[in-house]
Amino acid sequence: MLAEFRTKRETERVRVEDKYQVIGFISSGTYGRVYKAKAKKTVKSADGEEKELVYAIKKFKPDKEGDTHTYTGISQSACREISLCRELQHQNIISLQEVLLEDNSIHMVFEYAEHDFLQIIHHHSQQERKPIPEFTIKSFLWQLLNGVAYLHANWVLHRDLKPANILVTADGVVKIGDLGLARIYERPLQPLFNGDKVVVTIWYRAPELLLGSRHYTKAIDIWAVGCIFAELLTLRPIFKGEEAKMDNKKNVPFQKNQLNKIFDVLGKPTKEQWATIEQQPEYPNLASFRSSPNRLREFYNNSCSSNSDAGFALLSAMLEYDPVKRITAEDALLHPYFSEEPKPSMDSFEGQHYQYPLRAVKSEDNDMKVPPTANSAVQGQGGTTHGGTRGKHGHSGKDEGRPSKRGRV
Amino acid sequence: MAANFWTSTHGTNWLLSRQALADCRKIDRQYVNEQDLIKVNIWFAQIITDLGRRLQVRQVIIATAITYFKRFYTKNSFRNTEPNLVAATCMYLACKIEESPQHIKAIITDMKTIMQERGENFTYENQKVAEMEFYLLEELDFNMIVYHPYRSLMTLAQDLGTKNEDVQWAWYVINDSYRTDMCLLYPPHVVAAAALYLRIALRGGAQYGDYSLTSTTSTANDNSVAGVTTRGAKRGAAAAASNNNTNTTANETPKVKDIRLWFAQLNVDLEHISDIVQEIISLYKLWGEEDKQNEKIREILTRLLK
Repeated sequence: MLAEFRTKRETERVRVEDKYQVIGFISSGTYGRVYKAKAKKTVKSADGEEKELVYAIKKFKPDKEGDTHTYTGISQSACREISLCRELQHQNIISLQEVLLEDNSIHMVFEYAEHDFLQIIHHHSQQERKPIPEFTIKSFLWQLLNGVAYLHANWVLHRDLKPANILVTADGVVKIGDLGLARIYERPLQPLFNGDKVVVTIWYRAPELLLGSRHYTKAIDIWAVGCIFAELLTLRPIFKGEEAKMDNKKNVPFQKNQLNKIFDVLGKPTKEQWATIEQQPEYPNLASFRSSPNRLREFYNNSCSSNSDAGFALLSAMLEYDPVKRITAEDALLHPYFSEEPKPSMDSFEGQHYQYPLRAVKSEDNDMKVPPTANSAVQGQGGTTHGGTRGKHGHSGKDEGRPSKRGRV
Repeated sequence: MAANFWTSTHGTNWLLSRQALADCRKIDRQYVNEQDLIKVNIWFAQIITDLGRRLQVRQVIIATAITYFKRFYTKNSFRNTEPNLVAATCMYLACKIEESPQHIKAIITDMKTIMQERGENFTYENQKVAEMEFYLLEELDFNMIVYHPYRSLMTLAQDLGTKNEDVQWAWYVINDSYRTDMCLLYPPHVVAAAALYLRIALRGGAQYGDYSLTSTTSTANDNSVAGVTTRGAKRGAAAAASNNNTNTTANETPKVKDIRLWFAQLNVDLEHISDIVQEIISLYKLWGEEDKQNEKIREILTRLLK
């Protein structure tokens, strides 16, 4: 009797190629591959013009491709991302158009975003050799916080905020992408720690996580936003540490190098700054660190492209050691920095003359069934990756050496 | 979404009218009558519950799995599918979504055991469950986040100052409500209010033992006690519904003086509450019968599944 059902499903099923024409390959990672595609059906815009709708299709590969005997269904990461994207609707969160199933693979069809923070940071540091205009930075930051505030109001932690995951449309609208590690924490059946031993890419990982805290909060996302803010201002990661690898027994190692990078700028945290620091599991390991002063002001004055005191105050508030004292997304949106000129806008590129490069698309790889040719695959990012490239439909592969974080599930 | 039920996919896509639900079941109704279909639903809810218990997952996961199962059968008839496979797959997906993933082999092993206890064989292996998961996701339209009455119950009970034993009792009623169609018809907070109301109404007719009631709702294998429940609940519900029951539980709910006023202020349709209460009462009646008549359900399933 299942045969009847199967036939019904298969005949009703919409094929990806019926609706979309693949333009080319964007990027790949352990999760699968991302393609740029356009809808076969065009829509008429208000002024009667035929408009093409462009999408990014994220094709998950089955957990164990080709091996039907050990195939165990969709991965938990895909499950999370689909279930959350299905519920979330916000102008600063990448929107999921639809999900299609074909050839044992999930295809998530997302709205297309031409740029991402990482690509824009690279463009300014490599090509322009000039800072990002403060208006654009402020608009980026405000919209990013706006999206994070929405996630947090809905009890969702993103857990992997970093420049490559923050997309920007051609119209300058920020779209938070990649919710593959995101989780609802309203009703944890399991403590968050049990599911994923390690979250957040090392450079953006909050001090409480580095000190082994098991009951982390939305403050971990704010720390990452603070790091991203600093990176927009200086065009380089503020805490560029090296990740200590997990050993064979999957014990989470102490991240001495990363903490050192943080202490270099913010000073070694004291009990006065962070009341519960002594209760952090890794606290004993801090004994070997020498105490050091907070040099954030110096860093801001010397390395950052803004001279706004309010900007400094906001950055400090986001890089607060004590997660309880760290500013919330909602409060950050009301920070005086945003009422100062230049005021943020929903079009971060408004009146700006920079032409950011379009997302690289390999048009020769336009068959989703065939793996892309070797030299076009954005793979094997060196450095500290131990989980493969993250599932961004994001960047154009210019972040060699950048760490990434695959959720351990 | 998570903060607002009404903007969630649950609130916008998965609350059906009774008529819509009846339309979904037209094909099945060609083979069995309405009462029998209710028994079939109780039967499979019990299978999923037993599977969840064997896997030692939490109640919320069982509730999510049953909700998936019921949603699946708003789009399919029992006749054209394999409900045991669907049930196992619902549990597999629910565990993932509720962040307590179980190995697919564990699901299958435990499903085999509980079906053997029922004199049936569960013959599916990994790839069948994985394949079914794909179909299930499509039928659910990838809407996987489900809201349950448990959280609302805690909020309401706190507001009302309800005793722990009453909260526990209402919790059991909510568990039992998943054997009915309530999770397809009413928002979870309304079901929670109804469960609490049922308890309070019963306390109004205090001559019926409370503790025996608790054990009845959790095991439901003593028909005579279930009968008492039914009558007691009916009387209590009727009294409270007609708003005559002024002396309800004043000493049990110290935070709230007027229980009727409190329910009125909940902004929940009292007709819905009494509807749910009636439904749960008739559940206990049918459930008791079904449990002793394993032969009967087998005969119904044969007709339904051909």
